[in-house]
Amino acid sequence: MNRLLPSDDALRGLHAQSLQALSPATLTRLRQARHSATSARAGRWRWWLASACSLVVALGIGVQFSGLGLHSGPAPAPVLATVEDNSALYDENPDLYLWLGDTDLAME
Amino acid sequence: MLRRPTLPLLIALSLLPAAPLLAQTAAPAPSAALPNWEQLSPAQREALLAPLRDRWNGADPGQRQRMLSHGQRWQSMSPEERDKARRGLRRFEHMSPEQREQARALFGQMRTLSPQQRDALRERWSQMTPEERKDWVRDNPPPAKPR
Repeated sequence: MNRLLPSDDALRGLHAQSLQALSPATLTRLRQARHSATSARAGRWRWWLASACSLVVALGIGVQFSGLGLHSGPAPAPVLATVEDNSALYDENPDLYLWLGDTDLAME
Repeated sequence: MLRRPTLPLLIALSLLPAAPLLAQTAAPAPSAALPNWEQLSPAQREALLAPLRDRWNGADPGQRQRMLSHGQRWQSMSPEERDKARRGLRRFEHMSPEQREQARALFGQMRTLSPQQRDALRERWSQMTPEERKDWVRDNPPPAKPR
């Protein structure tokens, strides 16, 4: 059976011989076809990479605008902290406030 | 002609104007009317009570007693009195430390006087110069807060 099949070296020799038999124009066409096939695959990958990057950027901007992102600033103060930490309600005698709200005596 | 990799970028950029709209739908409306205390969530009640709790925990026994009695006094006021007291509280908050001291002194003094004497003090106060008022407060200091 081995006698019926040519050896690897014989096949490589035949391939090299056939290449030499091709015309320069044919070789150029083959080279161009191989190059365009490779570049088409690379182009697809670039397209997907650009899509993914754009999506990440759009999502990042959306998260920043929607307030879902992490806040680096201080936590918002409780509502009552705006009224002097509510201390004025309990520090002073409420009757002082009652008198102040009722009198027209100028002190300011 | 545009190359294909630029197309997704253009799509993403075209979506940017929609970002503020997304933000509006995600964030709560700041002017939304809040319900009565009973309908507030536990987290909202906690946010409102936290400053008072911290203040109570940081107060000494005398301050705690004063806070409690003042709270009870607020509670005992009629709605009309409470409105006046709130008005007085706002007035007090806009006063300088010196003006607050004058208000405390005047209030403390007025409580000890008869109606006629109060009218006389009011008349006298309105004619005092700023320096005379300072002297009057120095001579009639407000009662010390009970401890």
